[in-house]
Amino acid sequence: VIYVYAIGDPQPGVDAVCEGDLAAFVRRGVARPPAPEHEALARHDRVVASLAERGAVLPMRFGSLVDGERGLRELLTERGDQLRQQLDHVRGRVEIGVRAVWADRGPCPSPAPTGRAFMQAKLDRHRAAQRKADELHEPLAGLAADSVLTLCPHADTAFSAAYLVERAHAESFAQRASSSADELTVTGPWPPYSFSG
Amino acid sequence: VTREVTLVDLLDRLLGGGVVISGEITLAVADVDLVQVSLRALVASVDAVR
Repeated sequence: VIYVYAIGDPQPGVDAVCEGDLAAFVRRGVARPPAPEHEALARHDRVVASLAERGAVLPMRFGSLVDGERGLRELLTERGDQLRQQLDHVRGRVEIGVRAVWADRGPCPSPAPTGRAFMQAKLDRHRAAQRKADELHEPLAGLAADSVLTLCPHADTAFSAAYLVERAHAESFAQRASSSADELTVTGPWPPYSFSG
Repeated sequence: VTREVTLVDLLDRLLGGGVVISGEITLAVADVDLVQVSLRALVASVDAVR
């Protein structure tokens, strides 16, 4: 069984299954699916990040296993055009992450007396998150090649967003994001996890 | 800017993003999706303690 870290431009000196101009970066002889624990997640991220520093890659979702080289070659062939398009989109670019936490733990919908009140609270919270995103996310999205926005991803978070930016501009983009509001947590640069699905 | 990696950032990206392989060659992804739910609950409770 083969564990797949990422698909990308071929790179020398890395174990990969290649099909034409696409390479799938792999670890062979994996006994069973890794449990999604912190250490395993961090290791996956380290491997993908080091690949991303050396060439364009599309990270695989954590825990992606294939039975053998044949299945992997079929995947690269069948989805080759789409994968190449996505690779072109992320080439030379990195992902910057932004999370906006509720300053006051938010208009929390938790213990509401009735179903109706619960739904109303949830709706209010969603609208508040949308306003926050309009104010803080939209200006950043305008500076990025691409962006993904998720409203209310966690109880304490109004929105989380990912921005695809030129590697050379990553630092200044991140600085600008951090300085735009105190409640924003900025992370990255990441491999393009949010632009590979 | 440092590459500040928290568990929640890792989870969002590694279990919510990335290329997904589907069909016969997938062995693990479905299991991971199930575990993701319990991990998120764990993260939420860790955050609450802080």
